[in-house]
Amino acid sequence: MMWVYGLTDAASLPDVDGVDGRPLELVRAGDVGAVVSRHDARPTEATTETLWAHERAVEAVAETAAVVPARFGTALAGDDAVASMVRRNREHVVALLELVRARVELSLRIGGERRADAEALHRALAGRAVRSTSPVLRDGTWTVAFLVERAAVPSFVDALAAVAPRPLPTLTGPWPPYSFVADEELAS
Amino acid sequence: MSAVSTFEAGRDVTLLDLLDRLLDKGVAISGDIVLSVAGVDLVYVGLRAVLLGIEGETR
Repeated sequence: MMWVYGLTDAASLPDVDGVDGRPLELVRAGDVGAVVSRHDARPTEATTETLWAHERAVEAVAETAAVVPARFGTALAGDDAVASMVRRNREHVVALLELVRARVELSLRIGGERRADAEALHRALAGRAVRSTSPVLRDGTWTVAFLVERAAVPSFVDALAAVAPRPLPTLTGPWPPYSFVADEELAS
Repeated sequence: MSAVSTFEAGRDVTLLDLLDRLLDKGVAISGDIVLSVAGVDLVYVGLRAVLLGIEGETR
Protein backbone atom coordinates (compact mmCIF):
# COMPACT_ATOMS: atom_id res chain seq x y z
CA MET A 1 0.00 0.00 0.00
CA MET A 2 1.23 3.47 -0.86
CA TRP A 3 0.53 6.32 1.53
CA VAL A 4 0.24 9.57 -0.45
CA TYR A 5 1.63 12.82 1.00
CA GLY A 6 1.22 15.05 -1.99
CA LEU A 7 2.12 15.83 -5.57
CA THR A 8 5.24 17.66 -6.58
CA ASP A 9 7.59 18.61 -9.36
CA ALA A 10 10.60 17.87 -7.14
CA ALA A 11 13.33 15.88 -8.86
CA SER A 12 14.49 14.30 -5.61
CA LEU A 13 13.34 14.05 -2.02
CA PRO A 14 14.86 15.09 1.29
CA ASP A 15 16.00 12.34 3.65
CA VAL A 16 12.93 12.41 5.89
CA ASP A 17 10.87 9.53 7.22
CA GLY A 18 7.14 9.41 6.68
CA VAL A 19 4.28 7.73 8.51
CA ASP A 20 5.36 4.81 10.73
CA GLY A 21 9.01 5.66 10.04
CA ARG A 22 8.76 4.53 6.42
CA PRO A 23 11.08 6.29 3.95
CA LEU A 24 9.64 8.70 1.43
CA GLU A 25 9.65 7.68 -2.20
CA LEU A 26 9.01 9.69 -5.32
CA VAL A 27 6.86 8.06 -8.00
CA ARG A 28 7.28 10.19 -11.07
CA ALA A 29 5.40 10.17 -14.32
CA GLY A 30 7.07 12.70 -16.56
CA ASP A 31 7.65 16.07 -14.94
CA VAL A 32 5.40 15.56 -11.92
CA GLY A 33 5.33 12.92 -9.24
CA ALA A 34 3.70 11.74 -6.05
CA VAL A 35 5.45 11.65 -2.68
CA VAL A 36 4.58 8.32 -1.08
CA SER A 37 5.72 5.77 1.46
CA ARG A 38 5.38 2.03 1.10
CA HIS A 39 3.54 -0.01 3.74
CA ASP A 40 2.88 -3.73 4.10
CA ALA A 41 -0.46 -2.93 5.67
CA ARG A 42 -2.31 0.29 6.02
CA PRO A 43 -1.43 2.24 9.14
CA THR A 44 -4.11 1.41 11.67
CA GLU A 45 -3.29 3.98 14.29
CA ALA A 46 -3.80 7.61 13.49
CA THR A 47 -2.10 9.34 16.36
CA THR A 48 -0.69 12.82 16.68
CA GLU A 49 2.62 11.21 15.67
CA THR A 50 1.09 9.94 12.43
CA LEU A 51 -0.34 13.35 11.68
CA TRP A 52 2.92 15.14 12.35
CA ALA A 53 4.82 12.56 10.30
CA HIS A 54 2.57 13.33 7.32
CA GLU A 55 2.96 17.05 7.95
CA ARG A 56 6.75 16.90 8.35
CA ALA A 57 7.09 15.01 5.09
CA VAL A 58 5.03 17.57 3.16
CA GLU A 59 6.93 20.46 4.75
CA ALA A 60 10.32 18.90 4.06
CA VAL A 61 9.56 18.46 0.36
CA ALA A 62 8.10 21.97 0.23
CA GLU A 63 11.42 23.46 1.33
CA THR A 64 12.87 22.99 -2.12
CA ALA A 65 9.92 22.33 -4.43
CA ALA A 66 6.24 23.04 -4.93
CA VAL A 67 3.94 20.52 -3.24
CA VAL A 68 0.19 20.03 -3.50
CA PRO A 69 -0.60 18.40 -0.15
CA ALA A 70 -2.86 15.36 -0.18
CA ARG A 71 -5.63 14.82 2.32
CA PHE A 72 -4.50 12.73 5.29
CA GLY A 73 -5.53 9.10 4.90
CA THR A 74 -5.14 8.95 1.15
CA ALA A 75 -3.60 5.69 0.00
CA LEU A 76 -3.32 3.82 -3.26
CA ALA A 77 -2.75 0.16 -3.98
CA GLY A 78 0.79 0.19 -5.37
CA ASP A 79 3.37 1.73 -7.71
CA ASP A 80 1.22 1.28 -10.81
CA ALA A 81 -1.81 2.91 -9.20
CA VAL A 82 0.28 5.89 -8.10
CA ALA A 83 1.98 6.34 -11.47
CA SER A 84 -1.35 6.05 -13.24
CA MET A 85 -2.94 8.64 -10.94
CA VAL A 86 -0.07 11.06 -11.57
CA ARG A 87 -0.23 10.53 -15.32
CA ARG A 88 -3.99 10.96 -15.56
CA ASN A 89 -3.99 14.20 -13.59
CA ARG A 90 -0.85 15.82 -14.96
CA GLU A 91 -2.45 18.99 -16.33
CA HIS A 92 -4.48 19.53 -13.19
CA VAL A 93 -1.48 18.92 -10.95
CA VAL A 94 0.71 21.32 -12.94
CA ALA A 95 -1.92 24.04 -12.52
CA LEU A 96 -2.19 23.38 -8.78
CA LEU A 97 1.59 23.40 -8.39
CA GLU A 98 1.67 26.86 -9.95
CA LEU A 99 -1.01 28.00 -7.50
CA VAL A 100 0.95 26.84 -4.44
CA ARG A 101 4.52 27.47 -5.59
CA ALA A 102 6.50 29.61 -3.13
CA ARG A 103 3.32 30.19 -1.16
CA VAL A 104 2.24 29.12 2.29
CA GLU A 105 -0.98 29.04 4.23
CA LEU A 106 -1.52 31.04 7.41
CA SER A 107 -4.35 30.22 9.78
CA LEU A 108 -6.05 32.94 11.79
CA ARG A 109 -8.30 32.03 14.74
CA ILE A 110 -10.44 34.31 16.82
CA GLY A 111 -13.10 33.61 19.45
CA GLY A 112 -16.50 32.32 18.36
CA GLU A 113 -18.32 35.35 19.81
CA ARG A 114 -16.21 37.75 17.71
CA ARG A 115 -17.71 37.39 14.26
CA ALA A 116 -17.37 41.10 13.47
CA ASP A 117 -13.68 41.04 14.41
CA ALA A 118 -13.13 37.96 12.24
CA GLU A 119 -14.79 39.63 9.27
CA ALA A 120 -12.93 42.89 9.79
CA LEU A 121 -9.58 41.09 9.96
CA HIS A 122 -10.41 39.16 6.83
CA ARG A 123 -11.25 42.39 5.00
CA ALA A 124 -8.11 44.11 6.29
CA LEU A 125 -5.73 41.31 5.33
CA ALA A 126 -7.24 39.69 2.23
CA GLY A 127 -5.43 42.18 0.01
CA ARG A 128 -2.10 40.88 1.30
CA ALA A 129 -2.96 37.33 0.35
CA VAL A 130 -3.11 35.63 -3.03
CA ARG A 131 -6.31 33.97 -1.86
CA SER A 132 -8.22 33.73 1.36
CA THR A 133 -11.22 31.87 2.75
CA SER A 134 -14.18 33.63 4.33
CA PRO A 135 -14.40 33.24 8.12
CA VAL A 136 -15.81 29.86 9.14
CA LEU A 137 -17.06 29.04 12.64
CA ARG A 138 -15.52 25.77 13.70
CA ASP A 139 -14.90 24.21 17.11
CA GLY A 140 -16.00 27.44 18.76
CA THR A 141 -13.60 29.72 16.91
CA TRP A 142 -13.75 31.69 13.71
CA THR A 143 -11.03 30.58 11.37
CA VAL A 144 -9.71 32.29 8.27
CA ALA A 145 -7.06 30.85 5.96
CA PHE A 146 -4.74 33.03 3.87
CA LEU A 147 -2.56 31.91 0.97
CA VAL A 148 0.51 34.14 1.20
CA GLU A 149 3.77 34.41 -0.70
CA ARG A 150 6.38 32.80 1.54
CA ALA A 151 8.51 35.92 1.30
CA ALA A 152 5.56 38.09 2.37
CA VAL A 153 4.88 36.29 5.65
CA PRO A 154 6.78 38.81 7.84
CA SER A 155 4.93 41.78 6.35
CA PHE A 156 1.63 39.91 6.68
CA VAL A 157 2.34 39.36 10.37
CA ASP A 158 3.25 43.02 10.84
CA ALA A 159 0.03 44.05 9.11
CA LEU A 160 -1.97 41.76 11.37
CA ALA A 161 -0.20 43.12 14.44
CA ALA A 162 -1.10 46.65 13.38
CA VAL A 163 -4.84 45.98 13.15
CA ALA A 164 -5.44 43.07 15.54
CA PRO A 165 -8.08 43.74 18.20
CA ARG A 166 -7.64 42.58 21.82
CA PRO A 167 -7.62 39.90 23.00
CA LEU A 168 -5.26 39.02 20.21
CA PRO A 169 -6.23 36.46 17.61
CA THR A 170 -3.94 33.50 17.05
CA LEU A 171 -2.01 32.98 13.86
CA THR A 172 -0.34 29.66 13.05
CA GLY A 173 1.82 28.69 10.15
CA PRO A 174 3.34 28.63 7.76
CA TRP A 175 1.39 25.57 6.64
CA PRO A 176 1.38 23.82 3.29
CA PRO A 177 -1.60 25.26 1.36
CA TYR A 178 -4.07 22.52 2.34
CA SER A 179 -7.09 24.83 2.42
CA PHE A 180 -6.54 26.11 -1.09
CA VAL A 181 -6.56 22.72 -2.78
CA ALA A 182 -9.37 21.29 -0.64
CA ASP A 183 -12.00 21.57 -3.39
CA GLU A 184 -9.82 19.83 -5.93
CA GLU A 185 -10.22 16.18 -6.74
CA LEU A 186 -7.85 13.97 -8.69
CA ALA A 187 -9.03 10.81 -10.41
CA SER A 188 -7.11 7.67 -9.57
CA MET B 1 9.06 41.17 18.16
CA SER B 2 5.52 41.01 16.93
CA ALA B 3 2.66 41.54 19.34
CA VAL B 4 0.73 38.82 17.59
CA SER B 5 1.15 35.26 18.73
CA THR B 6 2.52 33.58 15.66
CA PHE B 7 4.63 30.49 14.91
CA GLU B 8 4.96 30.04 18.66
CA ALA B 9 1.32 29.19 19.24
CA GLY B 10 0.53 26.67 21.92
CA ARG B 11 0.82 23.05 20.91
CA ASP B 12 -2.93 22.59 21.32
CA VAL B 13 -3.81 25.39 18.92
CA THR B 14 -1.24 24.18 16.45
CA LEU B 15 -2.61 20.67 16.68
CA LEU B 16 -6.14 21.94 16.12
CA ASP B 17 -4.99 23.71 12.97
CA LEU B 18 -3.11 20.59 11.90
CA LEU B 19 -6.24 18.47 12.33
CA ASP B 20 -8.38 20.96 10.42
CA ARG B 21 -5.98 20.89 7.53
CA LEU B 22 -4.92 17.29 7.21
CA LEU B 23 -8.30 15.67 7.75
CA ASP B 24 -10.60 18.04 5.88
CA LYS B 25 -8.40 19.78 3.38
CA GLY B 26 -5.66 18.88 0.99
CA VAL B 27 -6.28 17.53 -2.46
CA ALA B 28 -8.64 14.55 -2.63
CA ILE B 29 -7.78 11.55 -4.75
CA SER B 30 -10.79 9.54 -5.81
CA GLY B 31 -11.09 5.92 -6.77
CA ASP B 32 -8.78 3.25 -5.39
CA ILE B 33 -8.50 4.76 -1.96
CA VAL B 34 -7.54 2.25 0.68
CA LEU B 35 -8.76 4.37 3.56
CA SER B 36 -12.39 5.25 3.02
CA VAL B 37 -14.02 8.53 3.95
CA ALA B 38 -15.82 6.66 6.70
CA GLY B 39 -12.45 5.46 7.98
CA VAL B 40 -11.14 9.00 8.08
CA ASP B 41 -14.21 10.10 10.00
CA LEU B 42 -13.51 7.42 12.60
CA VAL B 43 -9.90 8.53 12.76
CA TYR B 44 -11.10 12.08 13.34
CA VAL B 45 -13.18 11.06 16.36
CA GLY B 46 -10.18 9.30 17.85
CA LEU B 47 -7.91 12.27 17.27
CA ARG B 48 -10.30 14.68 18.90
CA ALA B 49 -10.00 12.59 22.04
CA VAL B 50 -6.23 12.94 21.84
CA LEU B 51 -6.63 16.67 21.39
CA LEU B 52 -8.81 17.02 24.46
CA GLY B 53 -6.29 15.02 26.44
CA ILE B 54 -3.49 17.35 25.47
CA GLU B 55 -5.53 20.42 26.34
CA GLY B 56 -6.34 18.90 29.70
CA GLU B 57 -2.66 18.39 30.48
CA THR B 58 -1.82 22.01 29.82
CA ARG B 59 -4.50 23.44 32.06
